[in-house]
Amino acid sequence: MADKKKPNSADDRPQETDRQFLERYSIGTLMKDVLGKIVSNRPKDPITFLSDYFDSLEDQSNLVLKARNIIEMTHHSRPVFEMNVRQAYDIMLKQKVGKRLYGVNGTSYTDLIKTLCRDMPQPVTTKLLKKIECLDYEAITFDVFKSGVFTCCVLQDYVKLCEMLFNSLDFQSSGKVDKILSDVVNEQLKAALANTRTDARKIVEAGYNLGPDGLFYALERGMRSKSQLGGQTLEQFTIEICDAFLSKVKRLR
Amino acid sequence: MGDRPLHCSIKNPILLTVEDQKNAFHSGCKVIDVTFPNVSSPEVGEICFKNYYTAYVSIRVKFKAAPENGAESGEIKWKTCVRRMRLMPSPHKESGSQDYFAISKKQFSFDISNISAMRIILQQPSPVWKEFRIEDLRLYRSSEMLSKPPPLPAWLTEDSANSTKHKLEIYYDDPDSDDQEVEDMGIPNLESISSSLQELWGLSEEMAINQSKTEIGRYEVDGCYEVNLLAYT
Repeated sequence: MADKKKPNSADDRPQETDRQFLERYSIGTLMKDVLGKIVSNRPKDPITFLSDYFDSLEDQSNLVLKARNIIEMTHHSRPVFEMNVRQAYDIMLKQKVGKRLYGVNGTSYTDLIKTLCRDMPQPVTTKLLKKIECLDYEAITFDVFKSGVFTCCVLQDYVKLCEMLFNSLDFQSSGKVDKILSDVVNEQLKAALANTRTDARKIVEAGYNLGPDGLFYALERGMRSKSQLGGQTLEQFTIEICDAFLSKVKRLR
Repeated sequence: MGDRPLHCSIKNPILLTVEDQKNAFHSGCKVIDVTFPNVSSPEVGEICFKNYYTAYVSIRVKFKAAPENGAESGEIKWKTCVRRMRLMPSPHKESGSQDYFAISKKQFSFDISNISAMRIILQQPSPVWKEFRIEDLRLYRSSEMLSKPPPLPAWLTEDSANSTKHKLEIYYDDPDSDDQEVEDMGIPNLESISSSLQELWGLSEEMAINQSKTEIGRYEVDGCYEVNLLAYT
């Protein structure tokens, strides 16, 4: 009898300790979380997403970094983005602000904005912060938080597009763009954005001004001026084009 | 056209009859009285209504009395502005019986301005239609935009034969092009620039729409926070 029991118990124990081992480190919940996030965010490259996720798990201490990682999980055009922003806000609510006071204040909000804009030229970030920054002691509501974070994410896309535009304007591949061209393009964009109509005509007029025809007229006018204003690097070009974007950002009151 | 309605009070149509004990008959003539109680100087540019089996319509107008001729106020006559306008080509038949009509200034005998009252006379001589009226009567002032219509935007009127794409094709195909400047500087790829610019525009607009409207609640007067100012306001 005793002999028979022993082999049985030897078989049972490894199975239990396996499950216990996994439960000890809550690997099950971890895996469920990751799979849930992959399904809802649908990243283009799931393997990179997985590795980034596990990397970021180590940054548990810094709430701002944690919030940033969650916000950057998906593109701002997808509906899951709003849920991620809400989650990030909830995480940042745990930040200690004062004696027995927890919440999102101006400092942590500004830190988050700065880290979201880490890939942009510094002057652009400074100008953006002038518009949407909050004083250190101000309490940030979710609405303001969401609007600021959304603006940053759209600006990230905008800056990447600026680089593409720079490469198409730089048709001689010299690394610099003729300032005349850059000025003309900037003017057209600003004129299209300054249109304050609220109906569909706004879209049609913008399309006409920014279409190949409107651009050709503007470029022809600019080129006929024949003045040499030198070239612009990518960074200078980006800063100027971002002015058009930033003019549409509402200043916080 | 219809953007300047004239406020008036329209009374119910009254059937005109010749009252007689023995010979009561259906006259087929109705009158609608229109007064302008709150309007100081009413002038009518257009009259719109929906017909209901009325054959002819006439409009008579009474002008305001001149103030100095107090003695002649009893002799103000009704002047006929629209005389027996035919609404139904044949009063016995259906055609035109339920059409929409708009009588414009051109059909008036004179300009209707500064009137005190208006009478719209409906006539239906056919015995087939006992009941007739006009519905949804509306009077409009004369529009100020009677001159040319607003100019069309450039993108609507541009002729595709004149378009720049056409011109660009001519430049590229013609080796003896006179335009030296264009050849020297070269033209960057307009299509890609244009599509990038349109995407940039789209991003900016999207961001502008989603800006938060809530205020953070700053106590600032002219951009600075000064406690003393707050105490006095």
